[in-house]
Amino acid sequence: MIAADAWNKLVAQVKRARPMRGVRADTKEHPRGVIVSGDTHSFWRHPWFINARWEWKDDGTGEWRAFIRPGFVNGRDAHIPMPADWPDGTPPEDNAPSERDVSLTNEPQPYLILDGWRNPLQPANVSATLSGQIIAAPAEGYPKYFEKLGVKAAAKGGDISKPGAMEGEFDATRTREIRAMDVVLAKARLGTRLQIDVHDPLLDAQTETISTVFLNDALRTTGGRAKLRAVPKYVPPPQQSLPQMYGTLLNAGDAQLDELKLATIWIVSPPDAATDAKPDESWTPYPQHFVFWNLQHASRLIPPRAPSPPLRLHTGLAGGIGDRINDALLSFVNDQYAEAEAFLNQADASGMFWST
Amino acid sequence: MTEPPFVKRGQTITATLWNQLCAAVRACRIIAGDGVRLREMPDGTIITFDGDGANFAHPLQVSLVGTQAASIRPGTVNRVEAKINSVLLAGTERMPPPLLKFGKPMLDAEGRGFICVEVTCREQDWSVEKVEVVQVADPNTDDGEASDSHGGSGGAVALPGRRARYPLAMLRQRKGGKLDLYQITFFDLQHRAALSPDRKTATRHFFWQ
Repeated sequence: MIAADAWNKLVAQVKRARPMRGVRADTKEHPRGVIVSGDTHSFWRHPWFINARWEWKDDGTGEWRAFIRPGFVNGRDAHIPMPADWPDGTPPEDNAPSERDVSLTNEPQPYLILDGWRNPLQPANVSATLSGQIIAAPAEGYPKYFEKLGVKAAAKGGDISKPGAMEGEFDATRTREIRAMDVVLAKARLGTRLQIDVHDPLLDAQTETISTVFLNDALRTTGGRAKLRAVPKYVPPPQQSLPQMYGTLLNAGDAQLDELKLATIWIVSPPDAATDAKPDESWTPYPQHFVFWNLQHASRLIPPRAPSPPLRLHTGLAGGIGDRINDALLSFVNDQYAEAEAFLNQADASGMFWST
Repeated sequence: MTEPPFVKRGQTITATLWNQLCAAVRACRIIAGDGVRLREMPDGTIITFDGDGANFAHPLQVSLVGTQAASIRPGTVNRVEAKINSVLLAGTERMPPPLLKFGKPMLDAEGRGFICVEVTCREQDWSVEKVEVVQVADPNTDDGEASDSHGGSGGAVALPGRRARYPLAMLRQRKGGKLDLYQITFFDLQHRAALSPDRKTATRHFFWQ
């Protein structure tokens, strides 16, 4: 016996399940089903456009992946490091690297695995003051757009004993969680390191010479290719430029690459998600792009000419002993000149990106 | 679809009603159309659209004509109009817009080639004298053949004869000979040469939008 209530619930469910045409979609009803089509001319996809989606694996588990529309740096397509046995599972030869760079224009297209999401709702760190107070840093927060979607408020930070420090203010209408990851582009370039050689002031009229050594390890290993990676939070590489002239003496070598944050991928949970929930197939991604065009990159310098020879004053006085004294006196001038030359010759090879 | 009706308490569920319900369930089944991927889950069906996006017509836009030629929309470098074999990209009164007929394309070992603007600068002041569209395997070699160069300090390599090339689009040949095109440049270009101290040669060339 089918009760009327059960029947009516079933009919209501069938009505709810009926596909209806929405924005940039089309439907065509048939007795055997409804054909749902997407509007392929919805908007223009720019270089570096990110399509984040949940993909199921053969073992029944799944993961979030970011597929990136091909972008170019200096006219060359960027790459993503993929496992050596990707895509067909063929194990690599012995002694082969465990990873290989795959171009964004390859078929099949490589992707970034989105794992290790950061939580912008919670404080980034907690510290203790000398008075014994435990202070939480304010949470990173998120763009205002997500407030309207019902995402929870971010923690305000402050004394952790006070409400609102570690968790955002409760709002019954805002129960969704949010997480984020950054997509970063790295481009290898020539690097520099200062080499200090010690000399005899009596013989060489200089106690030290400073020369710039140019490094190309990163360029050789990457072949100059730009590479993409996904990180929980992008931290810019340490800068080596120091304002003080003598600071150049401390340059022990730079990172040999320049980086640029391409996008932040925000991901929002369904309502009533737990505070420790991890993104799964029910979450919705929202890529926030910062770069929309292909890029050019150049280092600020190319290897310069050889350094100038040191100043000397040879007069033949006192049978030549005076010359040695002159050289020793001039050594301090030559040392300072060498430091100035190293600084002004811009031993900093950091580059910059611009769009074309 | 004929929607099954709601019933009242005590009303008999007849075979007709049941069949109407079955027909409604069947009619609501989702079928993937153009650009759509479906994944059926216990709690519902995930519908994903894979659109290519709208067209964006812009200067220096490259379109393949078969696998041996390409057409390029008019564009400029430093306001000097680009040409193919000395014919303006927009054509003239007597000549239609030209095609870049490269025949068998120059490609590197991975099937990559480029359609580039090749800029020639004046000797006096290094301003842009002429802009030609060419097809090469590597924009940074003199003869356009493929090389292992990784670009060094960046910018475009200074080629002999006060020349430099900048890629408009990349070609990628697939198995079976199919040629895919990836547009790199979307705007008219600006150019400047970085000169050596004697100002007779360039160390590198810079292009920007």
